[in-house]
Amino acid sequence: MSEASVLSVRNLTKVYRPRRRLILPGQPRPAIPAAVDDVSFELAPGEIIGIAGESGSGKSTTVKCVARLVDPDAGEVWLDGVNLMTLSGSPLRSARRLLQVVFQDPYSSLNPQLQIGAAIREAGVAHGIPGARDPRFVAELLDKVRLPASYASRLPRDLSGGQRQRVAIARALAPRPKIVIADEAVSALDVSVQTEIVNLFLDLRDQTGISVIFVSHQLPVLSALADRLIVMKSGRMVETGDTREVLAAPKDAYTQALLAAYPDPQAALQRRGFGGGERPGAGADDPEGARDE
Amino acid sequence: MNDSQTPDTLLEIDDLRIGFAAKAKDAAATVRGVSLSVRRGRIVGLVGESGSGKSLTCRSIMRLLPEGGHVLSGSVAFEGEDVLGMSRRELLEFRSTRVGMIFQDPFSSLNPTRRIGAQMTEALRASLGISEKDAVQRAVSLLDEVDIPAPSDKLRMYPHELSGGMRQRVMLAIAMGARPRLLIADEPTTALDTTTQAQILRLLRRVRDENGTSILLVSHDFGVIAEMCDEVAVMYDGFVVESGPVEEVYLRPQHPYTRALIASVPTLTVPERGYRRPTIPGPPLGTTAYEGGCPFSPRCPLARPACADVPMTLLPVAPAHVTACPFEGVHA
Repeated sequence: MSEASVLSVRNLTKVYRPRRRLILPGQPRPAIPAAVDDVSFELAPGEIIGIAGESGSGKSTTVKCVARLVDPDAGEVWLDGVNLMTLSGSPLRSARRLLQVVFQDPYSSLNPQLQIGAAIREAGVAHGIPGARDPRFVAELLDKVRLPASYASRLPRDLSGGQRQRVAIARALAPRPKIVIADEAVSALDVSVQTEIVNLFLDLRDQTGISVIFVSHQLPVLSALADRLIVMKSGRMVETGDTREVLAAPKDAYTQALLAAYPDPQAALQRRGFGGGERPGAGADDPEGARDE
Repeated sequence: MNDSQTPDTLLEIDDLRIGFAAKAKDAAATVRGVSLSVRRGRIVGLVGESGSGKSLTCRSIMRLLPEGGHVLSGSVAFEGEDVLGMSRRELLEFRSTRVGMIFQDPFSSLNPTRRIGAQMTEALRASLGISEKDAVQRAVSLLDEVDIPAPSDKLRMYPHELSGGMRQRVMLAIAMGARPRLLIADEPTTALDTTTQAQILRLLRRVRDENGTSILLVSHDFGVIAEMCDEVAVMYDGFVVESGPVEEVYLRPQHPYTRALIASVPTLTVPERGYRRPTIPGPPLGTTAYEGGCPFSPRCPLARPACADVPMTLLPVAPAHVTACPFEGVHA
């Protein structure tokens, strides 16, 4: 692991093999494509990496392998000087403390019968964080995700989707991780709420220096969040680089297609002849299809 | 919209209120005042956050409100005919031949245990009263119209054998089976990948261009709305707060909520480090009880005492462009 990295992922590969498949004698074994195919990247302290791609691209499997929620077939994940792939049992559990995951649907990842405060406290207690039983522990975490301390006694169903996701983030922060992995953490939320959560991750990073791996199929969500982008397709990293560079000048054909498919309101209206001019329809001087970045 | 009921008008919703309770008289409104019109051959967008009442409004057009839902007041007219007063028989005919609907999740609207062909021919025979053989032929040509390759093979498949995009094409083919004049598309691309979304949107536009079908397109994504729609209505907490030509509403938004919503749309532009995109402050939709007046006022940067009992009537600001916010100076 290079000096500057908090996490180093090397040649990660995962193939989902069907448990049983009838192979008739004399027939070749069907080739099964890898869900994750030779993925490597480094994550620096305080860095936010965005992993973009469509369904089936392997972005979710990649981060699940990194967190050892799925066992990869090959590759190494170095965290804090240890290769997670060589660990099991209690050493794995304690290493995992440093790497917490936030999922897409906060409602299904929170116990519906457990008060918010208890859910957050439990995450701290389970990893032996000193002072986790102190009410101030929960209050501080709620404050970090900008929820009032009074929410500790509420149940998940009393909260909006965005508030629930804040709770899920507070719970992920409870074991004092170095890395938070967000797997489509804003995909189920309304646009304005997505922006709130994105801003929250940016603030947390700026304030605490935490590193973030943020998986999303929405490039516009990643544009304001990620320092670096990884674009995945069919299990492979097809492009990686500084977010600004990848979005401004994508080198890979797939990245280009992905960017072109995103409906930008301003661009769409201009393409349809409605310019940003003074009057509706005055954009006639902008012939159809003449623009596009 | 105020300048309604031209011969051009296909669908006209006027001050619709919908509530939930065991009995209609006990119901408090959740859709509190929706006025909307769709002209022939137009694509009209319905945009707003979850819980704003978009889907309920759509369902009320089909008279498909969920259990306990009642229309409390207002009217829905289709080609001048009162939809809310239709008999069961009229309603059946209305749903099967004049309006089609597709939903966000095509997997849950298809029967997982039956082949695509059986589901399509059943729907076609019911709505068109044709023979099984004709229905099969029609199903093949419908699948072909929505760009499904090898359509006859697909008829033998089960829904799980198709991708999300393909399933949504099948749903569209079924909805278009009787050549309805109105297609209601409720978040039809929300569950799909971006590149698949682009294909489905192109297809919807072609459906309009080739058949003259009007489309009521529900979306929370202003990108989709700007790409597709001629007009758009913006909903918040059960009210239409603004509506008009899409370019008018997007480029010159009048209601503070519309402005906040547009400002929060993420783009591909990479901002400077330290920049935070604007959000909508205040209590999220659905977390506070409605107490009259403008429901956005608790979150509105321009709120004033008068907002507490503003009537939420849509006032004209430009041709066909209306807003429920009556305050001068707000429309900067």
